[in-house]
Parts: sequence; C-alpha cells; structure tokens
Amino acid sequence: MSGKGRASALSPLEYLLLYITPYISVTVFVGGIFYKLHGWFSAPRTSIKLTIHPAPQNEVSKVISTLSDLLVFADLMRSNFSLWLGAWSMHLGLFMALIGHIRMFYDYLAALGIPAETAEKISHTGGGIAGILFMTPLFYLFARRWGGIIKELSTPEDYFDLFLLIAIAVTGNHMRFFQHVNLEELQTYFMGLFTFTQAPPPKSGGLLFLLHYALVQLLMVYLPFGRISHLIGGYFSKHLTKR
Amino acid sequence: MEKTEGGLGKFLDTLTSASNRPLAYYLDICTRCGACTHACHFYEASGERIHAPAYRAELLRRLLRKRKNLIGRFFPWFVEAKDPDDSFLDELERAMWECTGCRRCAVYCPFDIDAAWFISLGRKALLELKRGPEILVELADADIQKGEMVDFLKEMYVERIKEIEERLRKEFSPSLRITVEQEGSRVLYVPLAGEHTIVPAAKLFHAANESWTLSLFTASNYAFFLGDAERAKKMAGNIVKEAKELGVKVVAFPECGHATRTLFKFWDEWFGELPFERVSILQLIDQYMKQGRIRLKKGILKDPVTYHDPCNLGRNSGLYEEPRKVLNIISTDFREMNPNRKRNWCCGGGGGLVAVPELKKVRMKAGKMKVEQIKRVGAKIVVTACENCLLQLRDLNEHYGLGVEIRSLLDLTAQALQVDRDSA
Repeated sequence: MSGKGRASALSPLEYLLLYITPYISVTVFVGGIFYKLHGWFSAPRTSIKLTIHPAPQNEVSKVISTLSDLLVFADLMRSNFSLWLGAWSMHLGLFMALIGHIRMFYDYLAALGIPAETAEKISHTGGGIAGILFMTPLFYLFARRWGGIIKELSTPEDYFDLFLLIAIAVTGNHMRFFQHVNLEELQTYFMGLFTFTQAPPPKSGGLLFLLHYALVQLLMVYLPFGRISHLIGGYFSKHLTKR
Repeated sequence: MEKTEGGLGKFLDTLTSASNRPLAYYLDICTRCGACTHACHFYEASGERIHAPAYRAELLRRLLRKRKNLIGRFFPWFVEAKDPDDSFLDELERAMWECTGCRRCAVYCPFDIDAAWFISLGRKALLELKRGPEILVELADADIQKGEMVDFLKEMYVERIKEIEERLRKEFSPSLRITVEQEGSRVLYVPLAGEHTIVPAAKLFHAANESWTLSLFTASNYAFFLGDAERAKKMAGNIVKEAKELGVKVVAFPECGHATRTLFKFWDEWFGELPFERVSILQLIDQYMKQGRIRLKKGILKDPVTYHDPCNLGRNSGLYEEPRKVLNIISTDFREMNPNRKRNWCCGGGGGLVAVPELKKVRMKAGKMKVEQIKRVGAKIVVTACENCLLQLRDLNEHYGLGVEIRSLLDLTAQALQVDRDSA
C-alpha cells in the first residue's frame, strides 16, 4: 500500500474505502437500525400474553430478568451447553474487543491517567484474549452448520455471517499479534473522519488494516437488515414472555 | 388432508396480512442456532427436519421474507425466500399440523421465540387451501352451531343434568344441587362435554358449600386449534355473554389445558375489561383448602403417584403447585418426574391432535419422551389436569404397555373429599 502520508498518493479503491464509504456505512448502519426499529414498533401490539411461567411479577423485576438472561444467555446454558459455551465466549470476546476499539476514538485509559506503556500492555493482553475468545468459537459455530439438522436450518446468510466474522477476526488478530499498529496513527485517521478532513491512514496497519476496515464496513451496512439484528431485537422478543 | 385447490392467493394473503409485534420480531431475529431442536418431543422421537421448531417457523418465514423483508425481496436466494409450490406445501402441512403448540421450544430458544405463534398462523393459512384435518374443522363448526342453537338445546340439557343430580343425591349427598344458568350464583362453572367433568366438580362445590351454577356451554375451543381467532373469540364470547347476564362473580374453567390458557392469556385481547374473576378449577380447589372449606383424606393413595404438568396449564398458565398440594396430601408416595414444571415433556396430545384419527400414529411416536419419563419414575398412578393429556396418556399407556393408571386431579380430589353425609 502506498500511503506515504499524502491522501492523494492512494489508489482510487483505497481512497474510496478510507474517505467515502465510512460515511456511507455509518449512515446506513444508524439509518438501518432506525428503519428496523420502526418496522418492529409499527406492528400493532397484542394483549395476548405469551408468558412462560414462572414469570416475574412486577415491571422492574421483569426488566432485570430479561437483561440478566440476555447477559449470560441463561436459557441457552440450560438448553444446550456446548452451543452456549461457543456462543457466549464468542460474544464475550466480541464485546471485549469492541470496548478496546473505543480507544481509537477516545483514549479512556489515558483519561484515567494510565501511562502509555502500561496502556499498551493492557490493550495487547486484553485485546489478545478478546481476539482469541472471539475467533476460536466462530470455527466451531461454522463447522456445526455443515451437518445434521443445523445444516437443514441454515440459509446462505448464516454461512455468510460466520465467514464474514471469521475474516474480521482473523485480520484483526493478525494486526494484534503479528503487527505493531500504532495507536496514534489510528487516532489521527479517525479524528480526520470526524472532522471531515482527510488524515492519512495508519501506515503501520498496512493492507490488513484496509481489509479489516472494509469487512467491518460491509458488516455495518448489512447488519440491520439481517439476522444479526438479533443484537437489538433479542431483548424485545425475550421480554414478551415475561408479561 | 387434501391437495392444493386454488386459493393460493388467499393462502398468501392470510400470511402477509398478519401483522403484530411478536411476529415482527420472530421474523427477523431467529439465528437458526438450533437450540430449540432438542426441545421438541416430536423431533426427539422422529429426527425429521419438519419437526424442528425453527424449521417449522422457517418454512413460513421463507414465504414471508419474499414479501416483507428487504433482503428477501431483492436477494431472495440469500435468505432462502421463496414462493410455495406443491411439495413445499406438503412439507408445510406436516410441519404445521404435527405440533401440539406446547411452547417448549420457546423455553429453549435464547430469544424465547414462540414457534407455536407461527403454527397458529400457518394452520389458518393452510385451511384456505383445505390442507388440514377435516375433523377439527367439523368439530369447530359443530360447536359454533351448538352455540347458536343453545336455547333449543337447553331443555334437553337441563333434563340430563337433573338425572345426574338425582344420582349424586343418592350416592353422595342428599342435599347436593346442580343448577343450570342460575342467576345470582357466585361461580359459573363451564364444563367439558362429558359428565366426568361435571360430577366431581359438583361434589367439590357441594363440599365447599359454594354458590355455583353450570354453564350451558363447554369450555373447549376447537377454533383455537385452527388458528382461527375470529371463531375462537365467538365461541368464548358465548360464555362471556352468559356470565354477564347471570351476574356471576367468578367464571371457573375445568380441567382443560387450551381453554384455561385462552381464559388467562387471550380473553384480555378478545374482551377487554370483564366484570368477573377468571379462575381454573385447580385454583378453586386450592382456595377452598386454604379457607378450610374442604378437607381431604390423607394418604388414600398407597401406590407411587406422579404428576404430569399439562403444558397449557403449567408453562403457559403458571398452575404448577396447586395440583401438587393436593397430591402431597392424598398420596403416601408422591414422586416428581424429571424434568417437570416448566421443562416438562409434552405428552404429545395437545393442539387438537387427540381428536384426529389420522394423526394417532404421529402422536404415539411423539409421546416417546413422556413414556420414558413415566417408566423412569416408577409410578403406578399418573395424575394430570387436562382432558387432552388424559386421553393421550391413556392411549400411550395402552400403546406402550405401561401398565399404569391415569387419573384426573379433580376426580381424585372429589374422591378424597371428607364429607359429612348427613348434612341437610
């Protein structure tokens, strides 16, 4: 990748992915979520109760019950332990990694007064664990879709999702373990996006950064419209059975 | 079950015009994780894909996605969105009718997706193509007709009830009374079609000195099994009208799973605010015990006893403990099957299947998990509180040679009542 510090030295594809599509992906992502929520909430409510007993009695305990179930995937743990193990660790790794990514936009570790070198170690260890925790179960989840009833259930979308996530995980982990991607370069680039100026892309990220970035943008554009919307809708669906 | 007969447009219309919040969520968020597959007693017994709850729902979702979902409309192959053809409909027919609507799948699903919600919609749509057990349609029609002819039938019914009353006065207590549609009664009891649901209730109410009267209607709701909300509401509406006219304070439902479920979970949607309380006969038994209005003889059952939680009374209505309190008193050896309560295995008789002769083989197979539970617990008496469960368990008992006795809780309660026979 050329990127010698001047945006104009980039190829058209690189330019597109670094300075045009990010705005499109974020807009489609946020807009898509509102579109999805609108679709769900404009469907008329029903007062038919879908309770699964025992159900909590008052409103507050219902909300707490739904949230705590979702946090640890309680139902799944009792229903299918090996699936729970795979699914929960994957989601845990994902959320840990996402929290780590916030440092590219806002360095909360620095804000807490943690010196740069220590923060670097925290990111490396925490991020490394997150990366393995996220990536490894994905292979299990992918493999189980190739046989038995799970194969009959699966649609092309299911394979696509897992493949996409695996690719994101692998590229991300490569950067975490085998490249030393400079945080300041990342921060500069993203600050440029927020301020609509064109800051140079992270040189230390190289081709893998671009690939990872492109895949994440693809995920963002697709997410609200597919089954990964369970991230948002799962709460509402689960809450129905607490009434 | 007949083949496709025109009306494909009506079939699709029924599907696409359904719009409610649960359906909206369930359409999008199923991740096809397969946690529900091992929840379903049909699937565990057969291993066929049409019995996996998510697959049942997926069949409908694939049709709906083609019409309702952005990706489904523009990239249908990506989400297997499709149009129905005959072989698809054949599969759909089996997937929709070979289900008891027990909602065990919703318990296993990480998002509590209710596959039975799809079953209800699918059945309604399939009936537009005349794909479904005729007998259920006939039973629903007969019930609606009976509701319309109720005044004509009243005299005959009252005569029959008088005969039962006479008999009970001789056998049970000379002061026992059974009235039909008596104004000013406190409790309106709505039986099922069969005196086995009237006799023990009459004894119970007599022992508790309750002010009660019998409904002219029956609680069971065949239209419910057809996913036909309009007609289900109409049938239940007869009871509501009767209760309002008689001015009763309480409407009590018998040992019927689906009827009790509609009483607690659907009547709010169908009728809004109602001027009476709604209870199950199980709750009345519990109340009478707490209030000291009835006393039960202790330990009259010497054999090992177990209780089968009817899905519609248990996980779908929350009545777990009331029957157990009774059984713990009247039996010397009460044992729990495992799992029980919320995760209890469905007996395989719900959803109207018990009334359909051509589905007997399927429901005998679907009862396999239940049969294994009964064998493992080593009980001689299996008690339950739902008519369909009773019939199914008795069929399973015969089919699998279990050699157990199947009893109804209400019946056992009546048997265990301590009654002062000389009371006037």
